[in-house]
Amino acid sequence: MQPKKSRRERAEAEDVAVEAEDDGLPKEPPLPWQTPPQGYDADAVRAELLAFHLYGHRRPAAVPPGGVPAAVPVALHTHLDLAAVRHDYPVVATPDECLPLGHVIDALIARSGLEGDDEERFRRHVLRLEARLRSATLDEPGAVLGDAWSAAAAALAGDEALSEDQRSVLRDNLGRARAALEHAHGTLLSCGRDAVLELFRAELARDRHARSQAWRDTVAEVVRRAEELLQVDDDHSPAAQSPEHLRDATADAGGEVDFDTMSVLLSESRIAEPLPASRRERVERALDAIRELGSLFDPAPPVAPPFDDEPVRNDCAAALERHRERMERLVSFFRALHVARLEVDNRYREPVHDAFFAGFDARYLTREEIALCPGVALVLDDAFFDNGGVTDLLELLASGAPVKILVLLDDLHMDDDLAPGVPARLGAMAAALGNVSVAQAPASAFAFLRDGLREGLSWSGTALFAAYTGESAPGDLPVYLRAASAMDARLFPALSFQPGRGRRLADRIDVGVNTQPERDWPEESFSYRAANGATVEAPTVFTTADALFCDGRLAGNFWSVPPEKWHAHMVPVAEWVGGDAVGTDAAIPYVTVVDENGDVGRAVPTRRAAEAALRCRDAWRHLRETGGVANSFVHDALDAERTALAEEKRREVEEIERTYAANLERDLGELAQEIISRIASQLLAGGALPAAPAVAVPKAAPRPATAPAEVPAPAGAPAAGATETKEEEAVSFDDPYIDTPLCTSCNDCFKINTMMFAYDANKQAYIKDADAGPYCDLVRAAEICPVKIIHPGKPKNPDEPGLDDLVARAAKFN
Amino acid sequence: MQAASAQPREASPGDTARVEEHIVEIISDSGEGAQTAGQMFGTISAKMGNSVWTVEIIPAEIEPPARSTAGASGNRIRLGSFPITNAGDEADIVVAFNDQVLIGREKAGEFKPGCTILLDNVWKDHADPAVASQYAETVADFIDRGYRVIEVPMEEECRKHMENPRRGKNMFVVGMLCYIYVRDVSLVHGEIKFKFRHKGEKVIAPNVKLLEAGYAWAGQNLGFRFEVPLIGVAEPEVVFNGNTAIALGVVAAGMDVCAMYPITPATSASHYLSEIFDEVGGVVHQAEDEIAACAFAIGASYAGKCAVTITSGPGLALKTELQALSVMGEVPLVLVDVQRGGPSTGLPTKVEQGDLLAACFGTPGDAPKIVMAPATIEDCFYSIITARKIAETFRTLVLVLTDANLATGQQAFPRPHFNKEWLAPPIDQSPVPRDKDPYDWDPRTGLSQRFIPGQPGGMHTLTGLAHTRDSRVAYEPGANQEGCRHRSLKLAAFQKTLKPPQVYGDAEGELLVVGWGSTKGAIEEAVDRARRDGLKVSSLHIKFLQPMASGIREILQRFDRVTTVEINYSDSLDDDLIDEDNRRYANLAWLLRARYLVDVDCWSNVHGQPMKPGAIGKMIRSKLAAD
Amino acid sequence: MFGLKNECVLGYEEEYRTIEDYQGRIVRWCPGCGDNGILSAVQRLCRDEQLSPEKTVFVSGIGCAARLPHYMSTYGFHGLHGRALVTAQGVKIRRPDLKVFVNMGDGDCCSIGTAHWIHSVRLNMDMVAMLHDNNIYGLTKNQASPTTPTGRKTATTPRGTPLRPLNPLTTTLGVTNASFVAQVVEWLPELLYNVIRQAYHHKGFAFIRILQRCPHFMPDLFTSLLDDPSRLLLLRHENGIQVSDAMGRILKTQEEHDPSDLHRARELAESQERVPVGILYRNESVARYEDLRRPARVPTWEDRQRLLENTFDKFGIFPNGHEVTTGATQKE
Repeated sequence: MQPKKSRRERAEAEDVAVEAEDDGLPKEPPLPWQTPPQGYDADAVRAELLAFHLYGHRRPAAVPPGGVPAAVPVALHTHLDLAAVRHDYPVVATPDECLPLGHVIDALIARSGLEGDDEERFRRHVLRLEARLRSATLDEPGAVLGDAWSAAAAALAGDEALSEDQRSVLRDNLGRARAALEHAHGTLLSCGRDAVLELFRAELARDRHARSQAWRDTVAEVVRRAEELLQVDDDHSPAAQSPEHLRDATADAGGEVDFDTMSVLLSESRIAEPLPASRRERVERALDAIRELGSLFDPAPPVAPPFDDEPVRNDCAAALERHRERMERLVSFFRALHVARLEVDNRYREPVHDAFFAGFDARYLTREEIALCPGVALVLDDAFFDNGGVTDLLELLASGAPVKILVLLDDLHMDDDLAPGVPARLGAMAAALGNVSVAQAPASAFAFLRDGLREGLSWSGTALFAAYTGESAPGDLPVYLRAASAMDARLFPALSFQPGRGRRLADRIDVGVNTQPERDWPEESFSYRAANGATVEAPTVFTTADALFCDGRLAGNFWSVPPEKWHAHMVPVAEWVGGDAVGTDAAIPYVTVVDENGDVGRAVPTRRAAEAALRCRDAWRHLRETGGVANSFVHDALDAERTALAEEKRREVEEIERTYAANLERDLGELAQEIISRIASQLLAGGALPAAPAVAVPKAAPRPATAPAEVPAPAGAPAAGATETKEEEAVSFDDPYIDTPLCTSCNDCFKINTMMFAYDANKQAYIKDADAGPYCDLVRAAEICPVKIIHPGKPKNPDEPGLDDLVARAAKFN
Repeated sequence: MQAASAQPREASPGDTARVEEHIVEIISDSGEGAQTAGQMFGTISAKMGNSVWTVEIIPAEIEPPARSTAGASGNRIRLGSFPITNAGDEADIVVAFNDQVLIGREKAGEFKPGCTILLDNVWKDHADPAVASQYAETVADFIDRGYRVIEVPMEEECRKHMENPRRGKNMFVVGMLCYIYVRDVSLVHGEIKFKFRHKGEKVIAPNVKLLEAGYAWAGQNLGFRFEVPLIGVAEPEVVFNGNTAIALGVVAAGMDVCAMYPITPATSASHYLSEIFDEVGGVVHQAEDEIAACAFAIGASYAGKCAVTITSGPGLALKTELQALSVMGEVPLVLVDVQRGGPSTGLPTKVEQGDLLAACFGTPGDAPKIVMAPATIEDCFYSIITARKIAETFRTLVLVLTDANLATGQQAFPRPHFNKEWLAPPIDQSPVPRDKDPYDWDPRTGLSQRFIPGQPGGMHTLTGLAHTRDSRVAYEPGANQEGCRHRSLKLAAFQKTLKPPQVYGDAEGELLVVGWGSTKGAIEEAVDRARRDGLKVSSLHIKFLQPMASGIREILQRFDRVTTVEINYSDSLDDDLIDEDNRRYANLAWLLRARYLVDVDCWSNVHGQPMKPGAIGKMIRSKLAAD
Repeated sequence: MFGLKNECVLGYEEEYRTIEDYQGRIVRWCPGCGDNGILSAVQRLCRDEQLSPEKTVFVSGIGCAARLPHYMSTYGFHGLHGRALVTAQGVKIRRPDLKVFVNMGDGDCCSIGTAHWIHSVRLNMDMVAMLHDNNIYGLTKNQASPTTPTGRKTATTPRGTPLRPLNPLTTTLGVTNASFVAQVVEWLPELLYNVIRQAYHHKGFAFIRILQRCPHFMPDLFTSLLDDPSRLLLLRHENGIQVSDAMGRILKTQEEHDPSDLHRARELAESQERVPVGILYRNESVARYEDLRRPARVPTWEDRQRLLENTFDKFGIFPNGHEVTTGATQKE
């Protein structure tokens, strides 16, 4: 149960615990029905209990004057002292980050650079200080970390118990730590509405920064080059050739130069023209548009960011409107950026791009481009739902627009049956939509909320963050525990659904952060002192009813029954919910509580309160199954698989047995044969029979040599040619051809006949038209070719003069 | 204030002499910090409101043998109550860390007759009798020749404050000088703190001690002080040497690439640039040789903003072929030549103006380029900005000639007011107009637009071969004529934008002294002195040496005689083989004679020293006495 | 959203370039000159990579090979004898956006430009350097080059070259920061193209020695290799060159060589009996000079002003001798 404590943390907790409490074990009163007190009327008691449980009747007399001493469910009792335990609170809130004090402290320790005992002492001292800060913040939140630190440090050092040496060491350590302390200017906040809002703000800023960082260098580069483009143009302009400008640029100290003359000469010889007016104007306009969002890309977070983080409050329509505005700015920004980019690369073609950019709108934005624009922040609080805004919200959720909605509930909006209302169940509903990023948890689960926020803010679509602060419910339980108990009572379970995270539901949804998700109710063992004085360790579960018991507004639904009115039919709520006594008079559910005096007591819930537990359990079972925990389908599948496997194994075993048997028989048979034959051979060896004549095995005839051994390929090429001819007989030597891949593009064959020879796309020669010239051209080309890759083939025209000579010359190229 | 306590008595008017100017030399073996001392004293004096020129005295070797007559390392500081524009004549006060360095400088004629010499007496009783006797002899000899030698127990005094006095002597010296010239010691504290800011208190403290010790010792033991009246500082000024000025000029010109190869005395410009250039995205590329450096710069210019390469004489020779390429391909380039003594390896650490003709005509074939020579340190700064602008506008090579004198000299000048227009604009990447050729020479000016890789439609192959307007290798006879003509016209066009230089002094007279580069200050000071004596002499200083402005001929003709004063070699008619038919003139004289057909005489030498106003004065007198 | 639509519209008007689009002036090499093959290989590369001509620069020195830029339609720099590599460095230092190719002859690279060659390897700037090695000075008419075989009679060595030829491969492989070294022959177009393509995709200084025939002065030089391809040793590897079956049939002698194996690469480069073709060595991890010298961000003119003002403060003298801003600097 929250807050979870690792063994180490317990150790620290003990170490830092300021005053160690004496044996504070709850004491259980003697159970009346074992030793009935005078006049204990079991039936009357039962009737009275049922009257309250079923119908809420209770005799005023039953309530002692001054009411029952304030009590808490036994499970909570052991965790009441929050200061003693490390958990996510208090948190340190700065404009750009909001993180648990514990993290800040751990970082300090990690950076201490100390070793051995020194380190350990340092660690303990700093942790002691952390505990101080924690309790201080519980008393009064909102202090600045740096100041609170100094105060706490002073207090610690002031402790008389310390020896002088100890004191000085403590001082040194705390001093060193203070020097290395980060976020000293941050505010310390305890669990509650403010903490969540601060977290939301910080994460929004962080998200915006991250988004603009991705574009920073690109934009800077484009802007720089665009500005240079204009500077160059200025330098080409007539103004740059004015005497004044020339004088400035030439820094002619001695006044030896006549700049009027220079100006005339330069302008007359028109060295360079300025850019076309249309282009210059286009670049200037683009630059202006880019600068509109310019401050986004400043390394330091801008004072007034173009997309401000200030959330819209309780108004879905306004949020959508703001998103639309942002998209417009984004479109004009990227239109400009593209134009500028094309311009600096000299790639802007008016005929093409003018039209394109005229029609440039949101549809043209890429994922990366849209990612520059942070989602609009929307905060919805209880008031919004009290005024029935739910429908607006549902529409917004369905729209998929990148609005980041923080539902900040101080209250769970119980219906008359004490079940959480729609506002408290939005998480599950939104998750069901499938494309909304959802993170739901009470404020107590700070780290979980923060991770959820980060994922949700970076998600391209709508995101819903539902946080229950626990601030409204009256009662003296710390806010943290109210929030935490809502989660563990399965009233407001933690849930994360990230549409972008994976193909399988299991990847997308996560309920694992809930305490003991595999159970209906979280269970923990607690010890108490029994009437006989013995210490008893008993398990206790925390149910919805336990949580409801803490809600002051529902006091009427619980009756802290004095021991003399306990009855044997009383069963713990969890048992009752699990059993079939629900709605009958068979059993009376109760919540085990511990009152101020440390006496274990029993509070009987009304049927309403008890059955709320039932509904919450069912809702929880559904959620957790969706989340893949204790999933019934999985269990069925597993069982099916098991039986199938068992069946298979059985068959294999049978098979093996069968074959074994078979082999055994055969072997025995062969063995018999063997014995007989041996005997026979011995007899033969004895020469009883004539030896059989040896049969001459014919020698293999000498095989005709297949391919002739590799002939050294003349001019390298024919190797390829030769193999070709061998492979496909179709190509005869009669057709002239060129080993095109080997052509070195030397142009020589061209010089002989440009019609006959041509270059392919790689500028390598091939025979375009063998008939475009006499055979002698082919032969001469073959002869002149430096890499000898032209093969003239046979002449086509038998009447060509000097043919014999040509054929002879061609021979060595074919 | 610390200093106050160290100050024994306020100088009474009796022993404080008022002087218009004074020259102080601090000389030592290398590594004894005389240069640091000199710069510090110079800076303080400038800050107090004297006009100051300091110049380094550099031996050729890094650590020449100790106590060698040629090994003098140190600094000469000239401070005055009127604008000081040059290193001046001979020293009035010399501070020497040993007797031998004195000899070298004295032989070089750097000491005013009878000047005061403050000499460390540590050598007097040196363990090595040879050293001791050398010392004795030198001291005696100097006294005989009328010098006022004051033996100062520098080392002894310093040892009181630190175990290795050799390291700290220079601060002691600064202390003495501060007393002698009535300087504000608190300013020196500031300087020390600044100089050793990275070394911390442990270094600063002892130096301050030594400073005060020197001041105190002088106060108790020297019976004289000098007051050089302060003229004050009217407007904010900056003070650094010419090489630093060039480095800053490169930054101010908006250049991105400086390619170089180590060579004296140019390198220190690149040292300073390397320190700061990265901050503004610049790169100083040390290439494998002078040729590579120039080719690298040309490549960078071809594909981007105009680049610069910085060198000295021998490097200039090696870059010859590439200069021609830059001219031929019309790739803008700024080439800075910090001239040193030549020929060949010559006098690497000494000043000369011997590269003018090489700069103008050194490239085989016709390679018209612009040659300019800053005359002051301030000029060094602005000239780079000017050169960059001209190089890009006229698509040509611009040579900037400075010299060792400017490179190592320090002078205060008005703090430049940064102007955004100085910076080179970004490179043009927009498409080139359809009708344009890579060498679309304007028929009148030869000017054309430069196509830079990345500009669509501008594709062409730049070639060092003779080429046509469209950069095609030219085979037809007329083509080379055309190319040469247009490249030459660009120079003509630029020449038309030059104003006639201003004559210093009367517009006409008996003698005109013409100079260029670092000699300006000395020449004009000499002219002033001569004119005060009623001589009809004026001077003319030429910054743009190729092309030269119109109107110079007229100026030359308004004087009976014209002579150039240059630090380069020319024959003297006193040698009996030399006559008008074979006399070889100084660089500028050749140019003037050739262009203006005026009988320009020249007076020059290659002693490797800055020109002294006094010497020029003598020359002026003798020339005017001649008739 | 329909993001893709955007991209394709922005891209579709880019015209496709064929090999002809990369052809520059009319080629003036001798008939049968090996440079033709190299030219069409690089043109094919430009076509296949669709390089924009305005963003591509071919830099060359002097010699037959150095004419190549003129025959391209890209930007070109036909500079000085031996200086191609250094010029190319200057081109690249502030223009990472430009694709740079360098074409040199053996005189250009291995003789007058040797110093630059060595240092270019060390700088490892991103460019493709092609050494057209025909073992002779062609343009100046038949003088011995550093790679001319021993005993070869040339105009300057009428009694035969006395020295053993310089080996460009071992030389390059011996230099610090060598990151890509390949050898190929120009008369096997497929192989030539493959090697050049690999070189182009190498991030750093890619050096290719291309054995190139000079039909005019060295007609017989490579005939033995032409006639007997088995004297070539094809280096093939999954990270190196793979060839088609046809090519495989021609180059029967092959070796599986891992380009990351420097030791073996050096052995191969040394070997006398066979001529290795393919990629001898490749190491993508060597830092590139232009990257080492690139500013973290592009500075603005304000940065220049700041720098100058600070420097002026440092060297500043102010009226009545008081430091105005330098005081701060001095206290640092």
